Amino acid sequence: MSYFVVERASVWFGGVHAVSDVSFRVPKGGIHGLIGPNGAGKTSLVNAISGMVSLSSGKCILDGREIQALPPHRIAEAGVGRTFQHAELFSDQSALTNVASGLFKHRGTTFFQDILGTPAKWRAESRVCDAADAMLRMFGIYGWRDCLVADLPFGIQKKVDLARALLTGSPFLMLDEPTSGMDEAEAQDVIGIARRIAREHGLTLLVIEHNMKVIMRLADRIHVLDHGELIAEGTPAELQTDPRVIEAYLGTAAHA
Amino acid sequence: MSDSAPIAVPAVSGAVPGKLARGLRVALLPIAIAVLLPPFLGSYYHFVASLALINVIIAVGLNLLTGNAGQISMCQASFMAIGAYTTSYLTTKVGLSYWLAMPSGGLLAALLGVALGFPALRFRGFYLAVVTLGFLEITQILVEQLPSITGGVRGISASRPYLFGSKLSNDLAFYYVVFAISLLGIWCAISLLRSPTGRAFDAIRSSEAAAQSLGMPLARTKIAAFVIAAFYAGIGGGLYASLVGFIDPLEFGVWTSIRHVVFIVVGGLGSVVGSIVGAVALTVLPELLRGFKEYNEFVFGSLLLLVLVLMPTGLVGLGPRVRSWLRRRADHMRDDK
Amino acid sequence: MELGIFVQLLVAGLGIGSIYALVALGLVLAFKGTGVLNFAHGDLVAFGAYVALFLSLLKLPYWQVLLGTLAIAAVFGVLLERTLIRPLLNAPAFTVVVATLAIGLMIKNALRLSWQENIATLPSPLDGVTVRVGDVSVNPQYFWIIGCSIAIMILLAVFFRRTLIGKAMKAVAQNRDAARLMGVRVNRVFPLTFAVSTAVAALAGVLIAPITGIQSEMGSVIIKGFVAAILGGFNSLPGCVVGGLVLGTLETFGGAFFGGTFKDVTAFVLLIVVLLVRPNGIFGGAEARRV
Repeated sequence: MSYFVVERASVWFGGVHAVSDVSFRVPKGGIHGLIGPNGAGKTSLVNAISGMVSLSSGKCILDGREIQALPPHRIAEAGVGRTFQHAELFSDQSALTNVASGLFKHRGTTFFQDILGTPAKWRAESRVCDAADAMLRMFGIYGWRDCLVADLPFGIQKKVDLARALLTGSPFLMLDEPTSGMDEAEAQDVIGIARRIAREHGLTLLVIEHNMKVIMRLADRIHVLDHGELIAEGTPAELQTDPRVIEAYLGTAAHA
Repeated sequence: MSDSAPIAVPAVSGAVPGKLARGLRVALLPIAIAVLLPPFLGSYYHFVASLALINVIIAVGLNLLTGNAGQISMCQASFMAIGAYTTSYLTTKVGLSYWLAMPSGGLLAALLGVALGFPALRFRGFYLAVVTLGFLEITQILVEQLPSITGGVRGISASRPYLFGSKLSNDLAFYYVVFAISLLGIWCAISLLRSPTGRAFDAIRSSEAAAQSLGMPLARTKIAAFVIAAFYAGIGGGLYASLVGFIDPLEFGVWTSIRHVVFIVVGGLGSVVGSIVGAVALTVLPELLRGFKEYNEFVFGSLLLLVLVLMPTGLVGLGPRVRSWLRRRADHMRDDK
Repeated sequence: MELGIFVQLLVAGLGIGSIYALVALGLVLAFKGTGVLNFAHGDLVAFGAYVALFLSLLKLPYWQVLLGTLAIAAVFGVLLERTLIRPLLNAPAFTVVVATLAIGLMIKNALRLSWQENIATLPSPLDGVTVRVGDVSVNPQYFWIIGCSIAIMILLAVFFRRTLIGKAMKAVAQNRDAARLMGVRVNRVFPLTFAVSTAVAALAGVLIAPITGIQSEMGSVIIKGFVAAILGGFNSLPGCVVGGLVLGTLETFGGAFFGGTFKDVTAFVLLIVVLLVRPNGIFGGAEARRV
C-alpha cells in the first residue's frame, strides 16, 4: 500500500480547472518529482493537498487516512509539511525565529507553562533554539541568524523556508521549487542536504522543480502536469525521451 | 498529533540561558529604581506611578493581542471596565476579599474575551476594529442599564484591599502591590513571546498560510490572544478601581481604548519593553503638561505627532524592524523622486 | 402617523443623512486616493464651520462665505498633506492612524483655544423661510443641505469622469505604481486629493452648523461618517451616499419612536447587522484594507 495517494483530485478556481482528475501514488521513503510548464497546476495541487485551498473533488490519503477534508493545521499535524514558492516566511522576524517555528508541532510545553515561564519551558526553549541554530549551520546560513528575513536575498529566504519545513519532521514533505533563486552550486548543495535528511529519517518527498538537472538527479519517479492534467509519469530516464513531456515543455515554442 | 519525531540535530550552545541572564541584568536597574526610589517621594508620585503601572499592565496585554497576534482591538477599555466593576461589586456589595475579587474580575474579563474572540475570527483589520468598537458600545450600554450592580451612570465606589490585617490606604503600600503584579504580568508576557505559543502569535500575524502549514491552529491561537489581553485588562481594571476609589462608565469609553492603542503604537508594536515605555511615557506626559493649562492637549497632540513622524515604528522600534523599515522607506523615497 | 410628522422626519433624516454622506465621501476619497485613513477628518468638518463663522463675522454675503470656506479648506488640505501627511505615507498603518488622531486633537484644540467655548451659529440662506406641511413646520435648512449635497455629488461625479485631473486621481487610487508609470505625477495628486477631501468636510461643517451650532466637539460626526462608509462598502463613493442616507433616516425615525438613546445606538446596531450579513457593505466593494 502506498504511503501517499492522490486519487482523482480536481481543483476549480472560478471557472478554471487548475487541477483536473490527477491521480498518483508515492511510496514511503520515495522522492518524487512534480514537473510541468508554468501554470500547469503544480502549486495548486500542493496547495490543495496542504489544505490551503479545497479539493473540488477527489481524495488525498496519507498512510491510509483521508486528509482532504481536514483543516490545514490538522493536515499538518497528520504529517504533511511544505515549503512555498515565494518562501512565505514571517517577514518581520529573524531567520532563527522562522526556523524555530518549525518545531511547533513538537512543542513539549502547554500554554500555561509558556505563559508562566516555568524552568521546563525555558529548557524547552533552549533546545528549540539549539535545534534551529544547528539547522541554520547545516544550510550554511548561520550568519543570517538574527537578520530580518525580509531583508535577505531570495535564495537565502528559500533556504530558511526549507530549514523550517525540515525541522517540522513531517514524514511527508512537499517542496515547492526549493532551488529557485539559487545558482547551480547552491542548488546542488541544498538538494544534497534535503536528500540526506530525507533518507536518514525515511521522509517521503514530493518536489516541484523547474531545474531539470536537479530533479532528474534527485527523484526516483516524476509526475508531469500540463494544463492541470497528469500527462505522463515515470523514471527520469523514461521521461527524458517521452514525446509528450517534450511537447508540453517545448510545444508552445514550436508553435510560436 | 503527528507520530513523527523532530529531526535530531546535535545541540550546539545555550543561547537562551545567556539571553535570559542578560535580560535580567538589564532589568535590574529599572526594578531597583522602581523599588527604592518611591519612599523618598510624595504620595502624588505614588499615585501617578501606580496609574502608570496599571496602564503598563493593560498595554502589555493589548500589545500581545495587537502587536504580536495582529488582532486590532478597540475594546481594552471594556475588559478594564469588567474587571473594575466586578472588583468593586464583589468587595463593596458582596463583601468578598479584594484578593479574591480582583482576580475574579480578571477571570470574568478573560471569559468574555473568549466570547469576543469567536466573532472576531471572521474579521480582519479595519472591520475587526469596528467589531471591537461594537463590543465596547455594548458593554457601556450594559453598564448603564444595570445600576443595581454597576451603579449605572452614577458609578460605584471601590475600596483599598486589606493586607495582613491593615488597609492599604497608603498610596505607597498600594503602589508596591501594583508594582509586584505588573512585574508578574511583564514576566509572563516576555515568557510567552519566547515560547511556541508566542511564535504562533507572531506567525498568524505574518502569514496565516505558513502558520497553518506548521500545525498552528488559527482559531485557538487568536482566541488565546483575546483571552490574554482581556485578562490583563481585567486585572488592570480591578487595580484601577481600588486606586481611584470610584469608577463610572465615562472612564471606560472610546477615548480610553484609543489611549491604550496609542500606548502601544508609540511604545512599539509587538514589544513588551515598548508597551512599558509607551504606557509610562504617555501616563506621565499629561501630568507633566499640566503646566500648560488649556494648551496641554494641543502640546500633547503635537508631541505625539512629532514622535510618530520621527519614529514611525515606535520609541522601542529599535533593531531589526527599524533598520528594515528605514531601508524600505529609502527605496520608496528614491522611487518618488 | 400624520403626514406632516412623517415629512418632517423624512426631511430631517435625509438632511442629516446627507451630512453623514458628505463626511463619508471625504473620508473615502482620502483613503482611496492616498491610502491614509484620516482620523482628523471630523475635526476638519469643525474647521469648516469655524472658518465659515469667521468669514460671516466679516459681514460677507453667504455665497462668499461658502465659497471662501471651501477655498480655504482646500488650501488647508494641501498644507496638511504636504507637511504632516507626506512623511506618513509609507509609515506602518497603525502609526498613520494614531498620527492622524494626534492631528485631529491639535486642530480641535486650536479651534477651541481660538474661539473659547462661545456659542456661535451660522446664518443660512434660507433663514426666515418657513415650510409647512399640514400643521407641522419643517426646518428649511434641511432642504438646503440636501440640495447642496446633491450639487456637490454631481460635481464630484463629473470631475472624476470627465476631467483629466479627476481621472488621474482615480488612477492613483486604483494603482499608485501603474499610474506613476503612466506619467501621472503622484506627488501632485496627493495634495489635490486632500484638498478635495478637506473641502467636502468643510462643506459638511458649513451645512450642519445652522442646525447643531458650532462647537469644537463637532468632529465626533466622524463616527457616523465611518458607519455610513462601511454600510456603503467603504470603497465605493455612491455607497457612501446610500449608507449616509440610510443611517440618517433610520436614526431620525428611530429616535422619534424609541427615544434619544436609540439614536446613538442605531449606528452601531446597523453596523453590526450589516457586518454580520453583508460584510462588504451594501455595495459589496473589494477588500482593500490597510489598517
